Amino acid sequence: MTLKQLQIDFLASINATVELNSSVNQNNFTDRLCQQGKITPEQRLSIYQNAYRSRLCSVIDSDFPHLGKLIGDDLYHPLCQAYITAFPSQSPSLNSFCAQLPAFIRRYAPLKGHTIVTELCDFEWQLRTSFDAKDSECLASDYLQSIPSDQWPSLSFKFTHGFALKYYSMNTVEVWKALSKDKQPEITKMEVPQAWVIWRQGLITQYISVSVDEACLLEAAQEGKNFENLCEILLEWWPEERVPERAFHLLQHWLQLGLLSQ
Amino acid sequence: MLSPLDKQLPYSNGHKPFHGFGLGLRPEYYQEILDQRPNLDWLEIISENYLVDGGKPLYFLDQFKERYPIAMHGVGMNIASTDSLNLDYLSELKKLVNHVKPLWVSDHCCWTGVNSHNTHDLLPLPFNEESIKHIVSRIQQIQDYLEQPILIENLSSYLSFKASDMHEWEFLTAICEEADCYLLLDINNIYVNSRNHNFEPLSYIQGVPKKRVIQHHLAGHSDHGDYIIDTHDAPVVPSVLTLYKQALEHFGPVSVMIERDDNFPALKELLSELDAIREIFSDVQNEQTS
Repeated sequence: MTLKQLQIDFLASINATVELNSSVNQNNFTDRLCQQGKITPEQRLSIYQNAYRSRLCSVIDSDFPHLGKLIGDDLYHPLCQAYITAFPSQSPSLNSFCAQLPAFIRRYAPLKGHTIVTELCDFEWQLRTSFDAKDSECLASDYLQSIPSDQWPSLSFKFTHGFALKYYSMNTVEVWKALSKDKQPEITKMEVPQAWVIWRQGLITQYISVSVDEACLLEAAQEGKNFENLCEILLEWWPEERVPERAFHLLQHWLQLGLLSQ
Repeated sequence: MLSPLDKQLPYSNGHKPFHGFGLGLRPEYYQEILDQRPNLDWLEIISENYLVDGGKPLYFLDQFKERYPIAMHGVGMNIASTDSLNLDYLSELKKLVNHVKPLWVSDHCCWTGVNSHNTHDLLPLPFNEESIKHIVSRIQQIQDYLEQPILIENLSSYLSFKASDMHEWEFLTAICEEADCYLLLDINNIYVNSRNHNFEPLSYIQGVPKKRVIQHHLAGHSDHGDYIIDTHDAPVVPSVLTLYKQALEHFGPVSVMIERDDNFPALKELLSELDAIREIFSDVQNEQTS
């Protein structure tokens, strides 16, 4: 028995779901353990099994503080167990352990098709992602005043690292707010998907809803479209004479929120 | 010949640094510690909490770095794993070391995963020559990469292997001597293991080399009667404080700190615990000088 094989078998035994005090001997691994005192090798192994799953469940609880409240314990605990089994951690850090949960929950049979659940999961993970995002040096709120007029048409923009634009077809953020106050949420479908901006302003994670023209402009700016292109996009909602004013207003708003970076 | 490690930290000439009484820095206490500047000699951070791109952790780390000496303590080095060393992790850790300029860098004498599957638990391995040879080689590579010696911590464990053919303290001693690394001796873990594996804890303390012991951890645990779980969610129990006193009498002054990771009390309660540890330290000092 090499050290490598011992570690592989130990890990397989930890990863197996065995009830405390069970006499099931995973991979005969417990045959390699000493009998000490009143505690059997199976009980000793179960301490590691329980700690493993409990620790990872705590990480999911921490990253998705309101998901469990929305779906209830009977659905939440099996979801956590299924996720832990499907996506064992592969990193020394637990920061990214839950990164696959929003995608996993979309195809997890007991919750598949429950849009509010998938959207709330996505929202909570984005809050977490923005919180941990790399620091960015934001453009000053008077940045636009320093741009010479001949450079405006070609002006393009870069967003801070924690910035995200999301569309939710349910009243997801309202539901999240209600859950965060331990209130029963009223779940409704939006007439049209609502755009949300999530970002980190300094050390604080923020979110706001944005109008449809602003969302389209944000998307285009993220894709690298310049100011002239952005003005053309606004023509869908605004008369030509008001487009520059609207574009300037939105850019100024983004600067004040700290969405744009150097 | 002096290794680069000896040049960095000249412990081998018998001079061991003593930094006094510290606390494991946790986000729950960030603001209070910054606002109150309590009587703490140093802080220990969990390295992995700061291996992030940005945001609050690094902002606060920089605040503390200006105010307190900091030791870096890791849980992700996976020293004893039979996987290849994770060079991406070590590279990030080294960047953090260069940024923090810590008192020292420590991690656990254990493995956390294999075949790229990380359990995030501190897993034991057999105490035998095969394990020693493997761990010594790994520590040497890590120390070369970090360009400084590391401290390895004894872990709490709940099972032992038939393949072991020596005591845990003999195992640690052999690793430290052969790898030329140092010991973060967790007094609570010695007590936990003494109950879980039925040995005399003083034998452990007397069994490790004095010159290698650079730091102590103290923490609380959950006593289930027939076994103990190392939970860090309660005050340090009197039996562990008694063992700490015996450790002090044996090792002399060693930098010591309290780890608290759950069921967080008010900061003043942890500071009171630390004051009690200071008193034990003073008592031993007075006894030894009189």
